[in-house]
Amino acid sequence: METTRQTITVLVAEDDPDDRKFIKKAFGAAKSEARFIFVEDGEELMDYLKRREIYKSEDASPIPDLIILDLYLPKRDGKSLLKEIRASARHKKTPILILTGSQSDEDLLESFNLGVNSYHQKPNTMTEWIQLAKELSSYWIV
Amino acid sequence: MPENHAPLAVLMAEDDPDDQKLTRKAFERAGLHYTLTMVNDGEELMAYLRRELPFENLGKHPEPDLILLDLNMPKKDGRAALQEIRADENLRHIPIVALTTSKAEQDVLRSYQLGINSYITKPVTFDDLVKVVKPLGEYWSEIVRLPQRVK
Repeated sequence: METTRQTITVLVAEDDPDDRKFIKKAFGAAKSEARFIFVEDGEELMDYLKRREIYKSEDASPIPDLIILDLYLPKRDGKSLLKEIRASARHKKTPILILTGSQSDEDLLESFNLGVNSYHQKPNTMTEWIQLAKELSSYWIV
Repeated sequence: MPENHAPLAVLMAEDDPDDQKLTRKAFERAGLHYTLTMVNDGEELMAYLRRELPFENLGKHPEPDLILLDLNMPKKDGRAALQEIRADENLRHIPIVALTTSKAEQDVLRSYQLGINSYITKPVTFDDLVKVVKPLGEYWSEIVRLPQRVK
């Protein structure tokens, strides 16, 4: 990641409200120096990235430096989301980290085939969430 | 370092023999659980991955868990190799980290566009190289779930 003076923007696509809470708490505890923006389903994610609907203005949708993506979101299939994101000129190069509850080896392989940068299993305990957030922050954000 | 997983199989493409030596030493010093195979340029890298001579023995030359890629190499540079790997449906899943001298924004952007997983500017001193290699190895062995080796 290039370090600049601007705040790093992390876009998190996560439909489960508990997981959103864990993510917020974990990255907070990890003291991540980034701005976290949340979207809750696949359509909202694409509206954000394509600056549509409520995300039309630049202020409403700062370009993410990093995307954290749950594979199984409502409204859009995760693989089709990955294809669409990677096909876009603006987001072809944006690092995408998958954060999923899926244990499937196929999901894992297919995600890498579709160009994700990194792939992670959702943790089970708050301690593990914080540890993961620290590792991800240290690798991608700092 | 917990050894409840297989060693991280790292394949490094690097043309400078001193950098090869230093990186080997850095991996040793970092105390990681790994294997490190070196290839000298982009052509060798592709031959290794495609199991062409002299890399035809799968036992001796298994598919890597991670490729460390110098961008600037003779015969075939890292950018060209990166493109070829991402275009190959049998190879495209392999995580690739650029480990290269260039810190030029152009190179960083272009590498991400071509599908690098992450980009690291090679540090100048050995101690700094160890400081980079240790978390790099730990991240790719323990934090990332790696795609299946054999399909």
